[in-house]
Amino acid sequence: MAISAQARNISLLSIIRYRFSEDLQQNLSALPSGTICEILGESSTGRTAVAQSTLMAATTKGEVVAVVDCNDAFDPASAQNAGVDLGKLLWVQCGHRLDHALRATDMILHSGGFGLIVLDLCDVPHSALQRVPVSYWHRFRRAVEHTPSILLVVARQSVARSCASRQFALRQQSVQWRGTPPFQTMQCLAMEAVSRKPMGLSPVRLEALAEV
Amino acid sequence: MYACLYGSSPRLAELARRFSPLVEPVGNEVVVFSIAGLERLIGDEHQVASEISRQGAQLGITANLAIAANRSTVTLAARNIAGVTIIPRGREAEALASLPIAALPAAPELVLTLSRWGIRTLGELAALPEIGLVERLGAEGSRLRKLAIGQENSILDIRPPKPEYTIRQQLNDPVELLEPLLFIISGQLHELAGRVQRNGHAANRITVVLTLDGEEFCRVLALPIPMREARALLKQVQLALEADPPNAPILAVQITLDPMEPRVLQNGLFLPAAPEPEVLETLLTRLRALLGKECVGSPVILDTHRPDAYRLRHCALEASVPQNLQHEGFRLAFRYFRPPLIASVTLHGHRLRRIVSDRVTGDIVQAAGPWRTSGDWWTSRTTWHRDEWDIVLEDRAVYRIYYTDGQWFLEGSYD
Repeated sequence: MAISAQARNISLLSIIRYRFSEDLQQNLSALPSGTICEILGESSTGRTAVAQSTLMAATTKGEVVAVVDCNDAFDPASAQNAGVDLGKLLWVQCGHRLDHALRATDMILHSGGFGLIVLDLCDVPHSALQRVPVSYWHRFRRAVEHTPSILLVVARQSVARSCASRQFALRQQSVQWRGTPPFQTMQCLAMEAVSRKPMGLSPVRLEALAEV
Repeated sequence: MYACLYGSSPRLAELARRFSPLVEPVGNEVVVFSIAGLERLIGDEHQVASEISRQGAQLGITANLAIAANRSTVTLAARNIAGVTIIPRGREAEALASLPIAALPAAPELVLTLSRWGIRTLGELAALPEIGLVERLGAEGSRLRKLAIGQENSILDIRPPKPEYTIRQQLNDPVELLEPLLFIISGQLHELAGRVQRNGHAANRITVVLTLDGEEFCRVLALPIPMREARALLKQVQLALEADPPNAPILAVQITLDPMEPRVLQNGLFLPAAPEPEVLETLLTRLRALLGKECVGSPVILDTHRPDAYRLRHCALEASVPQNLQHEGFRLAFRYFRPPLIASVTLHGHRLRRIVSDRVTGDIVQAAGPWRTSGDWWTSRTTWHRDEWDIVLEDRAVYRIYYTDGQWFLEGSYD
């Protein structure tokens, strides 16, 4: 008898949760308006989960949000499972074109009215990101400042550099399984989150664990 | 006093509007209009009828004309009495008495019932006692009797003609570039948008007709929301023409706006900011022009077990009242590789050892699976089946891979 793929995914997603401390939770949910923030990390470090949690917080507040998806990686089912109201989400698929992603972000920022704009650059090669002129990020900062919007950049490494007001770096600690081979299922992911910006504040160093 | 014209000419309403702004077309053959006040301008009813006949002859109209004190009497008279009929006030019953019972606007069954009673004319119907009619035919009986004696008081159903928002401009010299063309269209749209706003309307469709050398270039832009701002309308036209420009010099420009009732929106004091609908539509149009029509929208998850099943629908993004935030922590997310990456997986017995693909390569240190899934087996074209694994590579990245039809694929990563 076939098992439903979606049903299995949902059950996996529902049992694997990150348990950040309340401090980081408050930091992430209280990203300052009118700024560029960055979520940084390698694959499977929880970048997307944090971004989707922020999207959930914004849509719960009734705001309209946008995801500029450079590599078409966004999963609506995951977002819905995270509590994001998809009816308030504008998803822009950029077809693996970094230039299109940047232009789309520019258009969205200048149109105004979006509470949160997530620019997903996770799968863009670092060399391509390095070639983006710094003037782009200055332009984005000027467009977003003095507005209620937040531009959240999700990437492997910092791309907005000095234009970013907040930076959170995520690292994976371990992946834990349950059951005995070959009947195993993923049980938890252990994460570590570090606040890199602002420099004047003491860094928030926290553990992120998954629970059953 | 009212006048009624009955005929087959399509210019009856035009003739009526020469005498009164209060005109009610009833179907294609009858026009009723008020002539109250014309006695100061033209004279008594006979002189008014003479003037209407004279101007009707000028327009080439052949029609019956009736003048009476109420709307229903004048309609009955014009429909059933040839030529010009003037019914003085108080003598309606006498004027209508000879008309057949079938002239009444009533259900055929009711007319048949009256015929079976031996009622042949409106005069005979008017002679019946009203109470008796009501007892046998109900309210409809009372209405028919009032029609027969010319005492049914109904008012004109005045509806102003549907405004047309069209401007056509013939150009002295052919225009080849988009910029001067948009300059011309901008002027037309500002004029039309002003008229639309003055009439309390908004536009839900823009029709651009460009006369080229020997052919017509037509673009119809359906707007998802009614708009009335000239700048927003111009942006829609600009983006449409930039995406698909005319291929010959333009000799004439015609813009038409289809009117409709404007949006009525009650905003709340505590609602967060949201994009203005007109601005949002312009943004979506620009994004679609940049990225393609299928790449922008709000995702809707389809009711199926097929992985990655969604569609994008047109956005109608609106802010809403804030709700209480539930702190349930972060949930694991998934990131797709679209399209899935073709991979090569090395097996050692039944254990997965190594994966090689364009973007992800490494030794598999942990794997869970397979989970065999399938669906849509009842349709031959969309049947799918596969075996899935969750794998951890040596760099501790967690991926989902699957095997189907003799080929391995890397579907995405957990993040």
